[in-house]
Amino acid sequence: MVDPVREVCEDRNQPRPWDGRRSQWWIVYERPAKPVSKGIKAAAVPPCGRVASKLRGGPLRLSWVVLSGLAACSPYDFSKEVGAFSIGVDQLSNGFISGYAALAADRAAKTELDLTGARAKVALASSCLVPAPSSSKDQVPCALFRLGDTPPALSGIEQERDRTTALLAVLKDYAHALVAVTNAADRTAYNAAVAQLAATVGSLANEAGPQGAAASTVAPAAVNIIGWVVGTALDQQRFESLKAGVTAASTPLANGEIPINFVVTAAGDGLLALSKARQRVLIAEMNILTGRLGPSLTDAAYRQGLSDAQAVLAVLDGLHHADPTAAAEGLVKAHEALVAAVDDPGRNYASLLKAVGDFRDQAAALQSALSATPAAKNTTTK
Amino acid sequence: MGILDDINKERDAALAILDQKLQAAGDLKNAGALGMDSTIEELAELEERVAEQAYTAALDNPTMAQALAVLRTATTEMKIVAAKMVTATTFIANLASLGTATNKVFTALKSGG
Repeated sequence: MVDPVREVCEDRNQPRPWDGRRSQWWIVYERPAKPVSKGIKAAAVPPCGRVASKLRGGPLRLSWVVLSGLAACSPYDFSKEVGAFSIGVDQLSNGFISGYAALAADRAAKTELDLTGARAKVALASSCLVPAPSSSKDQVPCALFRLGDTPPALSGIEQERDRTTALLAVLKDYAHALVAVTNAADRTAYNAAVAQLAATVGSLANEAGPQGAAASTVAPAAVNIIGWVVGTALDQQRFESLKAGVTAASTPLANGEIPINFVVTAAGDGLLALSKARQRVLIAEMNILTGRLGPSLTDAAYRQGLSDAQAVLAVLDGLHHADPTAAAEGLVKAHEALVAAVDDPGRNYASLLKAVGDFRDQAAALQSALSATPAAKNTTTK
Repeated sequence: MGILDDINKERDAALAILDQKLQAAGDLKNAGALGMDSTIEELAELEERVAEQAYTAALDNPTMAQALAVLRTATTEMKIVAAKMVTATTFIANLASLGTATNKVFTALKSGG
């Protein structure tokens, strides 16, 4: 057992004792400094515990207690969760990038099956003869196709690739900025991280509507000279910046949209569209493969054909089980839980752990499903 | 709830109808009905387009409140047509109507109503 350590957290509704504002009082929290027993994980200990008592006394006395306890509300307690949140966002982004490549591979595999089965004459898309346009909207696939057929075209989601990539980049930048704030090791890193966070919150707001004012609420926290000298103020400032950042990202704009929710939902829609595009091609591929299976095949060809069909089926099934919309909702919930936890850690920390854990599972599953490609080579012929 | 959530609600309703028909078409195919491969592929294509259009509508015009009523009418029409698609014959006979109803969903999403 470890003796409880008295820790002090600022009540944000009240001014600080040293800046001369009125009605100052501080709330003293108590919590164990370390896990109470081996059976309790450190991560499950909330950043601040229950309210124990009000602290009374003069400003000088208050300051020393405050300074010694500022680390109690430090963002160190959230760095693990913010890090996990950020990894989940990275997984969504990576899932889109690899899923996009997999869609092109699916289409090529389906075309190959189509052409091979019919021993068809083949044409080369004229887009293969010139450099690709820079915008995804104007691109035409460089691919082979059956002579006489219409040249292949990009699916809608492929044409929107740039926009989806941009949305996911905004999300990633935001999540990385939260990580940077929580992990800033010194004053220089902290200042850079806060600037980065302010910019990314602004980007989220800009995506959700013309009102980007939310970004302005994330101003670098005022430097506390006394606290900085003794090395305690940075922890508190990181916490305050984290809180300001996540709150600003969750504050509705004039159009009613919540910046983080809007961007996450739109990115989730893009991921769903990508998943559906892959499903369509895989279903067509599946129809060709299963249509070929029959008694006229040799044993080896039948086995190969069956194996090819099963490989496609595994990918299709994975896409059906990984729900991009649910992953996006998971991200929104994890962010909401983060907002609630920084607001009242003692009460909401456990919910944050669960929400972030759920989101990580969903993001990992989605990345895995979107990245998967049929392992076997579809070369079966009659 | 934002406009994006409203759009997605209608999108999900349309996708649910198409999912149901995809499954039914698969069952009919397995029962020996002819022409189901192309039906299944058409339904999968409609799903892809619904998802795509909902996405681009949200990005292009997130204030398309006026489109929602049209969108809801279109998904209701999809439901009515889908209800007629029971046997292999009625399935194939009504596939074009389902496509037409789904196109109204695309139009609503594209034009904002």
